[in-house]
Amino acid sequence: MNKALHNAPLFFIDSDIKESTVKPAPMHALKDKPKKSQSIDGLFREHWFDVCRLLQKSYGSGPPEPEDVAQEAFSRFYQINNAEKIHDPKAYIIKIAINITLKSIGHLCKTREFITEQLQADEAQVDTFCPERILQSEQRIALIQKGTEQLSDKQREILMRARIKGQTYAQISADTGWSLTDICRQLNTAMSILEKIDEESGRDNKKSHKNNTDKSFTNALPDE
Amino acid sequence: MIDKHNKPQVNYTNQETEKTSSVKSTKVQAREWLIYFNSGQTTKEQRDNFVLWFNENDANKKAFKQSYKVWQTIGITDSAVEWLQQYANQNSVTLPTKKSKNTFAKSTLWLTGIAASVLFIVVNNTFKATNTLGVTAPEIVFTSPVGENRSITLSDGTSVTLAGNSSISVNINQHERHILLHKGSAYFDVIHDSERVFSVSAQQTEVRVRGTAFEVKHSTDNELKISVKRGLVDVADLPEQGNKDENIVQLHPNEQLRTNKNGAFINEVTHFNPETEFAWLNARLIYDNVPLENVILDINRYIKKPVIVLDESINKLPITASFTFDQIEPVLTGLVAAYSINLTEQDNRIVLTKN
Repeated sequence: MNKALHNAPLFFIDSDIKESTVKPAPMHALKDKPKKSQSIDGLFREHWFDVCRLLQKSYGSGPPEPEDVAQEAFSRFYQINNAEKIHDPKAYIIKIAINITLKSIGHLCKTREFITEQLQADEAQVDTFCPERILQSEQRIALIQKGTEQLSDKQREILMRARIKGQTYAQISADTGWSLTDICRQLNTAMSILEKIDEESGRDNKKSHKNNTDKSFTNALPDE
Repeated sequence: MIDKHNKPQVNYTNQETEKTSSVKSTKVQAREWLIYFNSGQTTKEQRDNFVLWFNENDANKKAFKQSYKVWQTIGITDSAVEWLQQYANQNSVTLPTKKSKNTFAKSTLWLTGIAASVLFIVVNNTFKATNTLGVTAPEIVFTSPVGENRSITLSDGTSVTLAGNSSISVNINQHERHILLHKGSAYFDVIHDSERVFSVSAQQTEVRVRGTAFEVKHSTDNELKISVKRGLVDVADLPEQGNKDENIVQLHPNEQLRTNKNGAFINEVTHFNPETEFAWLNARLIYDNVPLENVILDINRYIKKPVIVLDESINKLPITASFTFDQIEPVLTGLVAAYSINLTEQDNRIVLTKN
């Protein structure tokens, strides 16, 4: 710090500035990027059109516009550090795109904001698409996945319309002809099945954690 | 569940009539609340009721969190993707005629950093074959959100770091490498290429290099600030009239130049402290006797609620400070304590006035 500072109004929040913290990010940290961009080139060529088409057919022309959503999804995928661990990149990109699209649906935004506020968590904590979190939660996702396969066609249809398509129950009712009461009942049953599976897997993991405390527990999403 | 008035049948004031299984009852209530919130028809009254229920005890909180986690997790299962693909095949949404769009303005909402190489390949190869669907080529625009920096590697290997709330567009081809800085600030670590000049333009100023590291920043009063970290940089004004020669100034490491919105050089080349100037690359802001208005300009790249100075007399207040992006709010509170400044937090902004 120079001498002039002694005469200037001084206002320091953290005066302990380590030398290393003010250096620009080293280039070697980006060494693997070209290789990475080569692989994403291929993903782009292979899946861009499919992702856009899927978004258009499922959610319409926007806003948000499918191309914009797809671009954001590919962008986020590109930024994942350990993308090579993802077995099905296309499905992963679609999942990101779904998440982005749902964030723009009015009633879901309000719900998300409200719940986030109540859980006293920030948006990032309730954002399911933290890539590291997803990779950590593979087992949980696999179990919920299995659970959805146990649902009846009707239960799955309603659950997915609400959760993935972001439809209100009135919209689901209008599309399918099912009553609001029936929709709520089916949704409740579907969720109770999935919650039970999730709960049991949590119990099993606690047991195995007790038995083997050295093993890291990576099954659950971090507390929100 | 939800009755005909769309209210969840959750009796939070007298919830434990089912004494045989209070845990189950709590879970059922949590689930019902979750289902209610996703109905699309919630009311303030019910939200208030939920808050009471949620905060009544830890069991309620835990049950709701668990239910919510399951709900969230459904969205990242393969079942979700499979269902959506099935849905898309069966129920194509009627597509309105593709409207023209203000590409930059709209793109800034969604576009974030992605390798330019990827984009070029898409533009050049993929979209030629896809115009039947009406899918337009993506613009080569990169933006960063408010609140964080974003790093991008361009197709030529050049590394770009965008400060928060910044935006560039990129044009890299066989003959040139050109960047347009739309807003904010960008730091470039340019890979040397003797065949192609790397240029960055903003307002009426153009910076030309071949292999170097430098920052171009939109500053206060529509000024542009160019700061060189490594190598040599040519800064040129871009005369609006074609018959006028451009002026060029060469900058060396640790030299800085300011230009106005017309490209004119505001003052002589000055020296700067790179540790202070480039601290933002490491999520820190450092100021040594810098006017408050400049500090606020930077701060506003990293907080959701913008700070507005309504009293011009404090704009030039000299600030010396060092803080991380996470410490911005305490900094503002500290400003009030240290100076004769009032801070008023409004719904959509934070206002600073003279005390």
